[in-house]
Amino acid sequence: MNPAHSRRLILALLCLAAACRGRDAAGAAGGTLIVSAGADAETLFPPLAVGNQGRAVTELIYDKLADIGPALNTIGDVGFVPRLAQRWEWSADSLVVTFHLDPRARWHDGRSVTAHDVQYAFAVWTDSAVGAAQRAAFATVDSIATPDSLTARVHFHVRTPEQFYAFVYTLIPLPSHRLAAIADTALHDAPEIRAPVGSGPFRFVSWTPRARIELAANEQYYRGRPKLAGVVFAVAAQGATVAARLLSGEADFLEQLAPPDFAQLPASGSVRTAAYGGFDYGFMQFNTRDARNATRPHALFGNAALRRALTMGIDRATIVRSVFDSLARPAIGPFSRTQWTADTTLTGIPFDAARAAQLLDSLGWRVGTDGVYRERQGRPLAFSLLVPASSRTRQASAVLLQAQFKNIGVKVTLEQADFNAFLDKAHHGAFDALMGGLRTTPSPRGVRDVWGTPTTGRGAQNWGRWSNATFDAHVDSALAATGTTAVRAQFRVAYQAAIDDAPAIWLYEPRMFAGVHRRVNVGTLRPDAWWASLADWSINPDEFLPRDRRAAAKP
Amino acid sequence: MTRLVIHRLLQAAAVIAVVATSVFVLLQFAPGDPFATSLDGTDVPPGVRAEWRARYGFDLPPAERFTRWAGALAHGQLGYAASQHRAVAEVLADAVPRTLLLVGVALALGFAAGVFVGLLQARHHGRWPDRLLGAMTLGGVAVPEFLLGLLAMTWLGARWRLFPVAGLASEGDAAAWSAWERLLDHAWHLALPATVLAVSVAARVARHQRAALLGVLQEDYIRTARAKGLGEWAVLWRHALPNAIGPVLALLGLALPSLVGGAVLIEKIFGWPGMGLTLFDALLARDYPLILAATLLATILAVLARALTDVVAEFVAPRRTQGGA
Repeated sequence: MNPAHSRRLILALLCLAAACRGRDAAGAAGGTLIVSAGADAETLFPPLAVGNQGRAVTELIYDKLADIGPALNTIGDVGFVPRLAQRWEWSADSLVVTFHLDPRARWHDGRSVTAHDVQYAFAVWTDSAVGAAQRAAFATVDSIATPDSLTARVHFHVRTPEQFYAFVYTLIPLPSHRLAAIADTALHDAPEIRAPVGSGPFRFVSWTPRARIELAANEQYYRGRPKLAGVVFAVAAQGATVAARLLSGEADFLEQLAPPDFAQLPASGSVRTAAYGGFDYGFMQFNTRDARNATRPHALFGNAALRRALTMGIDRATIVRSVFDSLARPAIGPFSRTQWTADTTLTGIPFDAARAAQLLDSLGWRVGTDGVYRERQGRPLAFSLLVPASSRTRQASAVLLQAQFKNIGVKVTLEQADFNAFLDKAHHGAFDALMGGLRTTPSPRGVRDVWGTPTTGRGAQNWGRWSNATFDAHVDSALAATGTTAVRAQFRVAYQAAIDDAPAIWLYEPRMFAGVHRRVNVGTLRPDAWWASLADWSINPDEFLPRDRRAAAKP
Repeated sequence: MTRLVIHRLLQAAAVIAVVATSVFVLLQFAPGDPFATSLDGTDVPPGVRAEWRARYGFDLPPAERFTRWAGALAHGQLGYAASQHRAVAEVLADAVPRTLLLVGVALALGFAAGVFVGLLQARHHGRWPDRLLGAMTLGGVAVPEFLLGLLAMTWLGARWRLFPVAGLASEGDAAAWSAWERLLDHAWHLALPATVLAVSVAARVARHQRAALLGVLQEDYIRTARAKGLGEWAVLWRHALPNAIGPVLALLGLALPSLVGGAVLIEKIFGWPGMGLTLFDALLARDYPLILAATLLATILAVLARALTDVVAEFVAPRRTQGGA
C-alpha cells in the first residue's frame, strides 16, 4: 500500500469514526441555554401537560415512540421518525401496528424502557380518574399487547387515516416501575411527578414554580448526548419582562418576538431572529345564534348575506399592516398556511367598501338620521365585539375593525374581558361577535371541533354555533380519506364553503420569529414544537458566558 | 395595654371573617371557570372539564362549597390549587416568604429613606432643599408603582444592564458559589423591585415625618435644648425625632396593605414569584381555593401589622394614653 493510499484510508476511517459518534462528534459540547418563558409549566405530568410550556419541558424529558417528520404529514406514517421505537410494522388490515423498542433506551434512573411502559402509559392516558385532556386521541385504540419486553402491539378497532399520528403524537411512555404503585387519582400531584424520571435527551434537575425549571443533558441518552449541557426555562409573567430578559442578554431564546420587540433588536446587539412557520390565525367570529336563546338565529348574524356584506366592508390588509407591520399575513380561511391541507388558491371575499354599502342598503340597512350609522325599521345596525384583555394584537385589531365598521355605518361597541371571562362568555355563546385566535395542530382534524355544526363529535369549540352542511360533509369526507390528494381536495371544498358563508372575518396569520442569542446555533424550528430539535442546538465554546460554566448537575 | 391587645385581636378576627366571606361571595359572581384556560384545546373533550370540576367540588352549590371550605379551613386545610396541581398550603409556603422579604426590605428602605428625607426637610425648612425634596416626594406619591417598575426594568435592567431584569437569582454554577456570593446575588436581584416598592413608602413617610417634626420643633423643650447650645442635628436627632416618630410608625401599619397590593404588579413585572404574582395568576385562572387563601393571608398580615403598629406606637409614644400626666 503506497503512502497516499494509507493516508486516504486513515482519513476515511477517521471520518467513519466521527460519523459513528453522532452528536458526540461535536466534541466541545456544553453551555446552558436560558429560555425566556412567558408562563410556567402547569405540570410535568405528560397526560396533563397541555400548555405550550408544559409540553416543551415534558417532551424534552420524555421521548415518544416516534415523532412527526419535518413535512408535518399526519396521514399514515409517512415521514415519521423513530424515537423510542426503532421501527414499526403494520398488519395487513392496518388494524395492528407493532412497535419494536430501541434496546438501548433507558429511563434516567438507568432502567430499560420496556413495552410495559407503553402499555402503562396508555392505561393512564385513558383512565378518566387521571383526567388526561387529550384522551380523545386514543378513541380508535382498542388495546396494547406486549408479546415481549421490547415489543408493543397496538390494536385499533377501526382504521382511520390519522390513527398512527394520533397515537404516537400524543402518547408518551411513562416509567411504570416508578408510577404504577401510585393511585391514578393521586398521580397528578405525586412527588414522583414533580421530579420526573424520563427517557428523553434532557433530565430533570429542579423546578422552582413560577420562577425556573432546570434540565441537564442526559449523558447516557441512547441517541447520543445532547450538545447543550443544560436548559433553563426562566419564567416571567409580564410580556415586556420576557422580551427584556432576552434583549438584555440574560436569556438566550424567546419563542416568539412581539412586533414592538423588533425595534429594540439593534440596540441589544446580541439577538438575532429565527423565522419558522406558525400554526396561529386570528379572526372576528360572528355568533349566528341568539345570545340568550340558542334555538333562535342571531338577529343580525343569522343572515349570511349580512355577514358577507360586513366582511366585504373590512380592509384586512390594512388592519394586518397596522397591527403587525410585515409580521403577519391576512388569513385565508379556517386554517393556517403551515397546515399541510392549507390552500392558498381559495377565493376570499374581497374588500370593497362601496359594494358592502350597496349590499347593506339592499338588505334594508340604510343610513339613519344621524348620517353615520345604519338602521332598519328603527333598529340600529349595532353589535358588541368581545375582546380578551390579555391579547394586545386582538385589542388593536378590534379598535381598527370598529373604525372600519363605522365607515360603512355599523356601530360596534368593544367589550373587554379577562381571558377566563372571555372563554366563559364564548363557551356559553353570550356574545354578538368576538375576537378569536387559534393555535392549530399539524392535524387538520381540529377544524371540525371549531367550525363544525355543534353536535355530538363535532363543534365542541364552535362558539359562534355556525352550521353549514356542505362544510360538515366535506370535512367528514376529508378526514375519512386516506390519500393526501383526496384529503386536500375535500378540504378545499370545505374551506371555500366556510369562506363564502362567512362565519367569521379571517383576519391574520402571524409570522413566527424567535429571538435567539447570537452565540446559540439553533437547528430548524418545527412549527408545532420549536423545542423538537433542541438536543442538536449548540453554543460555541468561544462564546461561553460565566453562566455556562456550571458543574454537571447530579442525576 | 392588655385591653388594647384584646380589642385589636377581636377587631382583627371580625375583619378576617368579613373579608373571607365577602371574597367568597364576590367570586361567585365572577364569570369564568377554574379549568377554562388550562383545558381549552380543540382536542379536549368537554367532558374532561366537567370531570375536573366535579373532582374538586366546583359543581356543588355555592353555599355547600362555602360550608365545606370553612369547615376545611377550621381544620387547617386550605384546599387544592388546581392551576398549579399542588396543595394551596404548599404554594403559599413557597410564595409568602418571598413576598415578606420583598415587602420587608421595601418597608425598611422606604422608612429609613423617608425619615432621613423628612429630617433633611425639617432641618432646611422653607429653603430650596426643602422645596426640592418636597417636589420629589410629591412625585414619589403620585407616580404609579407599575410605571416606575416598567421604567426601572427597561432602563436600569434591559438597557443599561445595571441590575437583572427579573428572577430570584442569577443562572450559573450556584453550587460553586460561597454563601456570601449567593446572598449578594440574591440582594442584587431584590434591589430593583424592592427599591421601586420603597419609593412610595419613602415619599409618604417623608411628608409625614416632615410635618410631625415641624410640629414638634415648636415645643418648649426643643427651645430649651437649643438654648443649652445643642447643634441643630443633635436637637433633631435626640429630641425632636423620638417625639415625632409615633405618627410615622402608625403610617407604616397603614402602608403594609397597600405595599402587599403594590407587590402584585411589581412581582409580575420583575418575575418575583411571591404572593402577589401567585394571587394574580390565581385570579386569571379562577383558582378559587388559592384566591381565598391568599386573600385571607394578606388580610391577616395587614390586620396583624396594624395591630402590632398600634402596640409599638404605644410603647414609643406613651403620652397619648397617659393623658399627658
